[in-house]
Amino acid sequence: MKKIAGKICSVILAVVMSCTMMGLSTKAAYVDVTAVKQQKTNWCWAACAQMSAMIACPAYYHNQSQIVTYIFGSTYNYAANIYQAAMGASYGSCYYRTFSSTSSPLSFSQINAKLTAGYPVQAGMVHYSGSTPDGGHMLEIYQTYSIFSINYVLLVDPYDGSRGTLSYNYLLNTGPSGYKYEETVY
Amino acid sequence: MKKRISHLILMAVLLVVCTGLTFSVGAVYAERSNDAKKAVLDSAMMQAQSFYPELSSMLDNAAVYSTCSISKDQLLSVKDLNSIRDVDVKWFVDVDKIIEITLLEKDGEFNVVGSTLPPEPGDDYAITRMEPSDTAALLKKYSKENGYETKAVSISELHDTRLLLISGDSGLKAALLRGREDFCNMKLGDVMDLEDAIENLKGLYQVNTPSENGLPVYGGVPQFPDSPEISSATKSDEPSILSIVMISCFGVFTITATVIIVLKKKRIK
Repeated sequence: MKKIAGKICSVILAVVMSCTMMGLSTKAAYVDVTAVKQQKTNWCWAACAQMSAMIACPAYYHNQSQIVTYIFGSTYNYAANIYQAAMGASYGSCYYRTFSSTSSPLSFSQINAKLTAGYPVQAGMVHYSGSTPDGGHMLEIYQTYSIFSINYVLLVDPYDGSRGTLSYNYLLNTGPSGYKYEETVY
Repeated sequence: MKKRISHLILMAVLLVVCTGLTFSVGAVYAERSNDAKKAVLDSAMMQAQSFYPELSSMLDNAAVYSTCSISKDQLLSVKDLNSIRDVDVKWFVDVDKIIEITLLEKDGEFNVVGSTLPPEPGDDYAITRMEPSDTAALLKKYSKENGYETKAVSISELHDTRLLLISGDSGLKAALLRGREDFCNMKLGDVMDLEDAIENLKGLYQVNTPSENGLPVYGGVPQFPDSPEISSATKSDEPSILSIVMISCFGVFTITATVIIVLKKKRIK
């Protein structure tokens, strides 16, 4: 009888520990972003704007070609700064939502809050040559979660429409190919 | 010997049970989480869909398109449009619905964009490049020499304002809207120096290069990242999610097994 009780206790212990770990380790914020591939090499910002616009205004959103036309007057293969990217997202959503921009990264909790509110976050990844920016790429953050105090973001890379996971600290401090998270459209 | 074998069998059974339970709990948790997300999204979608007819109606009235509220009489009138069309520029799809004109400068040329509201799926905005001579004609038409009163309004601090609305019956009425609420207070009859406005717009809408103004620009994809890199970026010194889960499960099993063995040994003694 004691043996059976011991076994049951062990099993319960295992289950409780498993449940605790599963329960505490994942706290997700999520927006159902449709991945969009950029149509031209410099249109990462426009593709991200379209992804955000599709969430804000799924019925009337503008596509990246229309967004670029709105910003530059035609479908030029131009890169855009953070203001233009924000304006493009606002236009993409038919101004159903006015997107803002900031020349700084959002904290993980701020990203979490935006996603929880139902809005994806556009991360401006910047590469510097000395103190001068010499390249940039924009990514669309659509999900966050934390495991054992490590914060992760899930994002869409408009380069090929692929999805990936990066730790927030990696995004902020190291960055893929040295492109660090510097600016935000939200 | 028999006891050891029975212990091993018991351990194996417990490991299988624990593994099953762990993944079952995980699956249930994930399913519930997904269900909750789906419910929230469905709810949001229903709200949005119920709102869109109203939104569409509001856009038809053209009163809430901008970040600030502007009434229809502040917008371009057909008469104004016809006047501008005298410059021999044909860029409007539906004159009655046009409410905005955007002037963009590039390499000394102005691009003029007209758009209709509300935008409709498949709507192709009419865009025509406006040559400098045409632009000059437009500016001249509304210049001081022709009796239009102008008043300079500083827009030097603007970053994200690009709309140049021309309106009114008695002359040039221009307001820069969107992105800056300061200009939302402009009323019909308020005027500004168009040339100043365009001069400022020149600075704002030059084609960016990475080094220009010290502002980073987003594009230049070939530099970043190769498609697999974004996923493999977790190759950094931080562990992947899967490895953490696996290690967690292994840890649970090990602890359970240790507890059982200790209990067994005590009983054997």
